[in-house]
Amino acid sequence: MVHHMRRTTVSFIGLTAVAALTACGAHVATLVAPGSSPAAQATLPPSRPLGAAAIMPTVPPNPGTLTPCSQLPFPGPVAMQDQLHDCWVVEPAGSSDLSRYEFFMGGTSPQDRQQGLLIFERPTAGGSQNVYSVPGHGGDVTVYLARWSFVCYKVASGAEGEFDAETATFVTDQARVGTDCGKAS
Amino acid sequence: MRRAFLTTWLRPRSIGLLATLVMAGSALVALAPPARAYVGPVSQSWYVTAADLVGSGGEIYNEGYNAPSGPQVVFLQAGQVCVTGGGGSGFLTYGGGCQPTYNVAYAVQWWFYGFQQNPAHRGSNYVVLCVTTSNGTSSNTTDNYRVAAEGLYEDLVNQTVVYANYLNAGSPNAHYVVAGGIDAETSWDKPNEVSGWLVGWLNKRATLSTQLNYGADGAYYGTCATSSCWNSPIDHGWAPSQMYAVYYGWPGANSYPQIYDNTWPAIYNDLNQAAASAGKAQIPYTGVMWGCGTGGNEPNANQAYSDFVAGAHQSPSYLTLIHSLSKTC
Repeated sequence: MVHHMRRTTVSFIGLTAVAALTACGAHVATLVAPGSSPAAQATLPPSRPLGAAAIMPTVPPNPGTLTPCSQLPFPGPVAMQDQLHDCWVVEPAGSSDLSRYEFFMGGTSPQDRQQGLLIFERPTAGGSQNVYSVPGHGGDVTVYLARWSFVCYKVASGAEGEFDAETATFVTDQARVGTDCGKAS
Repeated sequence: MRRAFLTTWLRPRSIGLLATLVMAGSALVALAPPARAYVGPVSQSWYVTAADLVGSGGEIYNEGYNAPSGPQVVFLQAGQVCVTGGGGSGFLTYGGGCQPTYNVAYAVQWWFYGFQQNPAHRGSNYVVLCVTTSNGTSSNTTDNYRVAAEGLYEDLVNQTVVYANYLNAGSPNAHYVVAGGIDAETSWDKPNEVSGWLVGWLNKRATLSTQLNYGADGAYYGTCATSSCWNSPIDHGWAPSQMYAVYYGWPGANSYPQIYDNTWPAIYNDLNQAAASAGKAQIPYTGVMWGCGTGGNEPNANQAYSDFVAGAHQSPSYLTLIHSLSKTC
């Protein structure tokens, strides 16, 4: 079997070695504001305001989107250990507020596969916890619906539940669970 | 030992130099009993979100301003690779879709500015900022990875390095160093994808006069410690030799294994044992990365470091804590 990367590595290290030997060793690029002495004046901030950085929000039309788990800002090793799957990103449609981004994932505890886990994070969350143990000890958690500030899930035993992202608590009011999640399950 | 590793960040590493460092690293590892406890600042690494990019620098400035004092390596991780609508290099940002890499290269300058503005940082010596590509989805093409890395390299040289050098020419609190980074994770990324990123990165490193290093803060799960597996795909299609190349074999490489669980350090010891068995030098791991709020059984960065020392039998020069997306832990 030929490993593409290994073959590339070998050939490329050779190329780089040649380049390194012939390079002039110029490690320092030109300075900002030629003709002025940075030491003689107050330190200047970066030259271009970030507000002019031409960032165009690209909010997906679906307020909750099933997304590859690898795309979420959560460490891959833990995601594998927790057997995370059915990962969702929520970005409200039409919103230009880029701070309104959150994600949810379901899985199980590596210490006890009957203990379901729900992962939730958003940039402006107040809590310090991101991994929540789902009540009931019902096994693996599958997220089947995500909307801004709440998520609906099923556990392996068949039970359904809802997690309130605003309060970072599991919803105990079954009527509310039925209203938020019932039609989608 | 810290000073020895700093040289790997600051010098372009030719093959000759690489060989020297390999020998030096191996000798140090063999002769000096590893210190269990980490001594030095625990650097604070962060995810860069789209909200950070449009926030007039405030959040990223604060992250620089509030960083600890002292020599350190910081990872600012902005998202996986993407190609913009115009065919340019991009980061698939958290909350803002595919953004050009130059937006990120601009934004991270505010970290340096924030660090510089805090008088408590005076005398911090070398401070390295790794602008990092997140792990991928295995749905990108090798060519996309290459384009993204080439663009990132150029943007860092044209923007971030210029600003770092502007600061360095004044009365800096530290000597600011710009680097790249890739979160190469065997469970997500395929070897050919990471290879694409590295080929793009090294293309630019070989052709531009400014030579940047990169930090690999990925994760690996191979458990084979002999030469029999060296070239075999034992971990999600990855061979130990391929991970070795990412962590150490490529010019300018620096390694930051993610340690969230106390069983993982042994994996990195196995990788070095396999390397030794195959006649290769040991990887002198540059640092340890620990992340908060993940549910891993390592309770904090310092404990993760101590467990790495015990399991991998090395005392890396650096330790970093990558915060959660929420930035609340």
